[in-house]
Amino acid sequence: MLELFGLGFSQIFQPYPLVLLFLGTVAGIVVGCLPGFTITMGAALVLPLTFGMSSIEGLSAMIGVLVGGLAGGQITGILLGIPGTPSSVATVFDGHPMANNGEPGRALALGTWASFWGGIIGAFVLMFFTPPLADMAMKFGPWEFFALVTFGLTIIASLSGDSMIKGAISGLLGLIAASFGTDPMTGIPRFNFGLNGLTGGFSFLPVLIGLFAFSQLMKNLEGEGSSSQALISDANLKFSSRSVMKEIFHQPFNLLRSSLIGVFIGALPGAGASIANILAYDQAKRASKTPKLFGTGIPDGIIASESANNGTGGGGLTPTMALGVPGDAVTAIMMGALILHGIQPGPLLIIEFPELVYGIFVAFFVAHFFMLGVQLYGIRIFVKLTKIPLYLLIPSILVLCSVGSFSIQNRFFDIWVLFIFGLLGYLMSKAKIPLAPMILGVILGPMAETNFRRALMTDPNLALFFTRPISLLFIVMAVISLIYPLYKNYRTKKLQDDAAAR
Amino acid sequence: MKQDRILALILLAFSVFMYLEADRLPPAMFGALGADLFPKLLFVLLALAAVTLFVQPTVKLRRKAAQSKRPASGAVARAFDFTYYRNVIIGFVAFLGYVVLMYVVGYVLSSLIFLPVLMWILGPRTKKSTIAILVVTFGLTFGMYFGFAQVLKIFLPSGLLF
Repeated sequence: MLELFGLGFSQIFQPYPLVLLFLGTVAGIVVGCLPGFTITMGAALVLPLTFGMSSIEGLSAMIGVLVGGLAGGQITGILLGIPGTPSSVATVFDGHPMANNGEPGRALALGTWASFWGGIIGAFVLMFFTPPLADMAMKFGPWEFFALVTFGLTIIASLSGDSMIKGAISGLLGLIAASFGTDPMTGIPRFNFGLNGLTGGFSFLPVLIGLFAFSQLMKNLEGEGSSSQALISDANLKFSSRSVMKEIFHQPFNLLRSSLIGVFIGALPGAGASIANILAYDQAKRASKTPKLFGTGIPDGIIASESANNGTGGGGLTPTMALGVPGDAVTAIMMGALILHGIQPGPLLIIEFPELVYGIFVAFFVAHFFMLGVQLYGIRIFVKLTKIPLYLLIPSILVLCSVGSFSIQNRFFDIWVLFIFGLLGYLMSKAKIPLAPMILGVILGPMAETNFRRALMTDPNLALFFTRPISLLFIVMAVISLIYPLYKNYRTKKLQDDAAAR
Repeated sequence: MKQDRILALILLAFSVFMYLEADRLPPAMFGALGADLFPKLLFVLLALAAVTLFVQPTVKLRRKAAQSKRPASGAVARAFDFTYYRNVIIGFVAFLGYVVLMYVVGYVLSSLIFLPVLMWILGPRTKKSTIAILVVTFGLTFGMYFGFAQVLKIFLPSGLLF
């Protein structure tokens, strides 16, 4: 194992990968701290830039975006009270009051250090759980993989959004979009409607940029245009790292619990940082001796939320690399990055490309140190960045979107795909259909289909999906993930009715 | 509620259309496992989901009506607020124009037109903003041109003319 780490080290500790990792981290913090710009969007926009790079260089940049983005959301959350990404919603609850009480520097330092420790705990999980998980998955047949994909899709459908049926529709639309183009098994062209550009199907990247970047930009254009936001004065950004560290290590249980909640939620297919931070905050409040103080600007809340959201990074990458089933939309893009660099994630990855896998582990660690340094000492720059007006930002990023979509295959057709999926994504978000299941569907589509058909070709008996124990386990979990929200819905309704009857 | 029903009908129509389209795919060479199998399964599931979405509001409304013992008032469709969506529509139209223009004259020229026009429409139109627009337009267009094409070796769209 140490040998492999040495290999990973030698991959990352070279000038070019290190610079890219650093730049990726900075880019991640930037998209993280801008409200209305998500990590998913940042990852989708950085991905095309990595085409000309080697796979380890490209992935270093992407890892940086992931780590920086997870931490960057707290900046605007604490200073403005507007979370920069959904991953930092719970940070606002205590971070903003603390900033209002005249200690914005302390709040930011607490959040940044908590992010760091949460991420490092996640990194250890990633490092120690990926190899055995991949090892276990080596025994999976097509039945298990199909059942696993089904579980991943049902859980994301039931978790992301208010309506489970709309989540399911989104996931199905993603699978359908992936079925366009050449049949992966027989090579027969499907649904090209006489268009040459559709012979290969929709390229993953323009679909992604359209759904997550383009549609979000358009959403930012709604309303009368945002007025300039009143920032807390830059004056009091001072902090003392030593006292902040003391505060964090004063609550080791909170830190550990929140980080592990993040890791677990991240590893669960379908749920990511946007859920983990709120859950960890809630748990911290329940475990606290002084729950009433939550929301008034105490360190506990900031630590819980920020360590949880960075914990999801390592948690989410674990199944992505070991099983080829991403944990959420951001890790789905990470998986897309691997595929675009010609690497198929899955149990064989760690055997075929150990240098890459361990390189990613090392990069993930190093990114947290970069994030810590950049965010603690560059905070003033990021605060200034949030003042860039949207009328300059949105058209500029639209240009980036089109160049990014074009650049994968140098096909003009892909810019049309970008436009169509941008429009579709916008309309879907207006219809309150969550977008994350769709992107998981797009990326898991070929895997679902190939394994489904391979299973039936090996043995036409459908019952095998239910008699093979691991396959059955995944299917049972899929069914639970579908039924649980219905049950919860029923219970809250019943509670409401009882309350109304009283 | 009403919007959901329209959405359900669109999805249903889409799945029926696509199912028929999948049916026209060449038959499988061996067994029943052709290229059409998996997509067909997806369209059936999507149709089922659409039907559920269509029926759901009725069930909920009926339950609510039974609870309150009052006829449920139908969802009143809010009038389409044009000013709220004005910039969104402008954004989509401007981007459409940008793509068409890029197809004809290539990346550099189309960006030099698209960026300032959209920024000017969305921006506050002051002296300061005009300067900012010009700086960003030229900086981004040529910065990308050199950064992408020269350093990162990524191609930019060239048009029919240039």
